[in-house]
Amino acid sequence: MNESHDSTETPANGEETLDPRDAATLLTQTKDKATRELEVNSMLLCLLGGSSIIIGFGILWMSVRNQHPYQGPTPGSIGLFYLLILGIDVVAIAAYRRSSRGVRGQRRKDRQIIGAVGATGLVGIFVVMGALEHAGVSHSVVYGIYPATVPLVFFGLIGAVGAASREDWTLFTAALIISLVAAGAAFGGPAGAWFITGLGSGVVLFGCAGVKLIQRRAR
Amino acid sequence: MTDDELDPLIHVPARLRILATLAALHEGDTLSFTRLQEMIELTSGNLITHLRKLEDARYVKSDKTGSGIASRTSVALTTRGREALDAYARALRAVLDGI
Repeated sequence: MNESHDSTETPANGEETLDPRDAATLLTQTKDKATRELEVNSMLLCLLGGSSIIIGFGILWMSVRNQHPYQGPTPGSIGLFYLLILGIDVVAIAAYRRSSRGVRGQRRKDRQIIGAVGATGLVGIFVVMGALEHAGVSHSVVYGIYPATVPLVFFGLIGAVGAASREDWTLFTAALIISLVAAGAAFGGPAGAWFITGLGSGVVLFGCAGVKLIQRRAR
Repeated sequence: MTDDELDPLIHVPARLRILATLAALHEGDTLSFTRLQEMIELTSGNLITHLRKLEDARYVKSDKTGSGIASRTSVALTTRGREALDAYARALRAVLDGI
């Protein structure tokens, strides 16, 4: 084996054998430590995501709830919403980068593919929104039902694919439920859709965090 | 079961930590030498020596890409290594149950 950093060979220390109890403790502790360092803390990300969705969608809902006729979220509320989304994106990307540093293989490729699909989908969602506006579709749909539901239907499914590639079945289930909640929220009307999607998705993510906490304690 | 039945190649602190750390990777993933060294806190000379022993037993495989300062060595657990670690963990449980 060659390594450019320091290939000076020194006699291997730690050749002494272990007491079986110490070996069992060392095995468990090392596995736990490695898992913590190599995996993203999805419980914290679920909590952060749930809080952000409830606050972000809440802000948008507050800005539209008394509109008659419906006009859509105010520029200020949209700005706050995007700031929040940007914040959670920065935290999530930093967490993924930290955990995957030095790791290569299929999972990294899967993540890149999912990222590319997600980015393309996001552009597609806004293009269709523009096309709906261009076609003269009402503000209730273009600035209400559509943006309040379709992005989360899409990102719920993308999240489910990402979770499945990591065999994280708790997050997979939560992501699918979020997708269904967002789809169902379309029946809530333009203002109601923001409320139902935000609250429903937030609760699902909090539930996911709770299940992960229970799973962690059971290990 | 006695201590003698524990795989002597694994039943050493440094190599046990190397294998347990690599086992946390998903199948098909590799870990850079540098990150592995940071995680298990061994000097690079010691890590290389232990990895060579594990490689000789085909418990781990390493792959070097690039050359000079840009070289990167990746390490991964082989299927044989994963099976050996599982067998070691089972043997360890049996020893502890017998105590």
